[in-house]
Amino acid sequence: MALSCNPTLLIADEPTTALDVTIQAQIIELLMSLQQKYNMAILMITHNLGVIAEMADEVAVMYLGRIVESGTVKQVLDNPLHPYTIGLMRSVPRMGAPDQKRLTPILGSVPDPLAKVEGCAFHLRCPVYKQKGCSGKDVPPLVEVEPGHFVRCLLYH
Amino acid sequence: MCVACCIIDDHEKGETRMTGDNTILEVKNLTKHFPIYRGFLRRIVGNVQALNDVSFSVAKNETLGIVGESGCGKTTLIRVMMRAYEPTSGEMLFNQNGEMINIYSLNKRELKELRRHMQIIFQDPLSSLNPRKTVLEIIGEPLLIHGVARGQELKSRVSELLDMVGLSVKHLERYPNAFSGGQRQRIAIARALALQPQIVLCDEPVSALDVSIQAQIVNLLQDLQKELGLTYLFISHDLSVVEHISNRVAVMYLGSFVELAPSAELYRNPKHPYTEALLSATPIIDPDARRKRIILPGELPDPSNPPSGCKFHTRCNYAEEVCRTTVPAWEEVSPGHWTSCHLAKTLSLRGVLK
Repeated sequence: MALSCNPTLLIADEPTTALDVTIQAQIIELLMSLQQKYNMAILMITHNLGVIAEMADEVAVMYLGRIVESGTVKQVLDNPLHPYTIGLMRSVPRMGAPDQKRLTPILGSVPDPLAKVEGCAFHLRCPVYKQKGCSGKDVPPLVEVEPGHFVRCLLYH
Repeated sequence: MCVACCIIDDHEKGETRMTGDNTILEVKNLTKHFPIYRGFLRRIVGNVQALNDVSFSVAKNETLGIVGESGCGKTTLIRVMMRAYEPTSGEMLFNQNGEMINIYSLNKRELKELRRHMQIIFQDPLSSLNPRKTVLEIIGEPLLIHGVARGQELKSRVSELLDMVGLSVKHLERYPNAFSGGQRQRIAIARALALQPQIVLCDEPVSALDVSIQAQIVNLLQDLQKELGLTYLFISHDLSVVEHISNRVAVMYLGSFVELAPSAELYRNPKHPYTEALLSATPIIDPDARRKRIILPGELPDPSNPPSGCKFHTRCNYAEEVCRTTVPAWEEVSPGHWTSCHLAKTLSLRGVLK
């Protein structure tokens, strides 16, 4: 249905969440072959880092309504910079890594979206939060740390 | 880790024999068919073969993971084990102070007593907690039913349990809707642990949670296991979580076990093509490791009309004539590594690292 008008952009909102891995693999293959065939862009929304690693060229990490880090899939997953991205990467078990004894969860939970968090939205849960500016009035701006790799964190100012 | 391995090794050798002291649970040839009724006379026209001839045993303090697609019988297995459904055939022996008791031969009163030792944690903590009861009532209910505690004693026992799962006394009078998903799952865990069980059956306990919360609950389960000497049966369709938490892993397909091995062995050296396909289909968080996925054609066959021979042959890339005609035997291909595949000895399958 989504392809009926030959779109140039396909927005896929968690298309594989809640599916079994075998069906998920079928859907990923399908999306990638359609992408080639129709020469379209895909905006893939998911919380599954594995799906991102397999499918994406570029990634943007969101927290409480803002992009906190973006770059190519290699830049972001191989060298995550924002404490939230790092936290996400550490909290999932890796297959084939048996030496990993304990997961490192991100502290607390996502704050109520109605409660306004001043400054950096992540500072309440941030393990490296120390700078005054983190809880200040202004939201940290996105800075380009390396070509194409942006992060919204005062650590990189 | 080493200690755990030893326990499992010992226990593996006794897989088909009578049990050693380490075995807490032994399931033998468990089968559950649901009859399909049709027509005016409600005649039985067929059976949904939800569970077929499942056998395994679990050692004390071990975590046995069970993976498989939706509809493969994981939840039916747990329900039959809790005797929420009566099995069609087979038995389950539970080690009570060194004596192996078949739970399907117990009467209602004996069963109630035994259920103290076996508890469940469900997938969805919102629908498994009564929205009109407070946390105190929810966690206290099993204690009241079994006459363990009441009144002030009940309250202090529930407070201890809350403390154990990382919640606090101030949460006692709140209702489930006041909690986040992770906190609700903590309440469900506290309820499961209220009667100091020996085995906890975890049915997808972290599948409905965000990844960061999932890590908190997985850590909590591991801490509690160490502290209380618990044994877990951990069901999930997430292979990486199962590998992380389990000592041994069993793979289910269409109501049967197709492979069972220590987790490192199963993930590195799978012997059943279905296990290989599951592993290759699971996305890995490493953009450099993009691999060729094995795409299984089609979906699970209808369990009321399963394929002949090996049930997996309709989707298997390696199937030969023998697979279509003969049911493969459940065999030990290397110490502790069980599988049911005609070609287990000839195929060289790809694990996680290859």
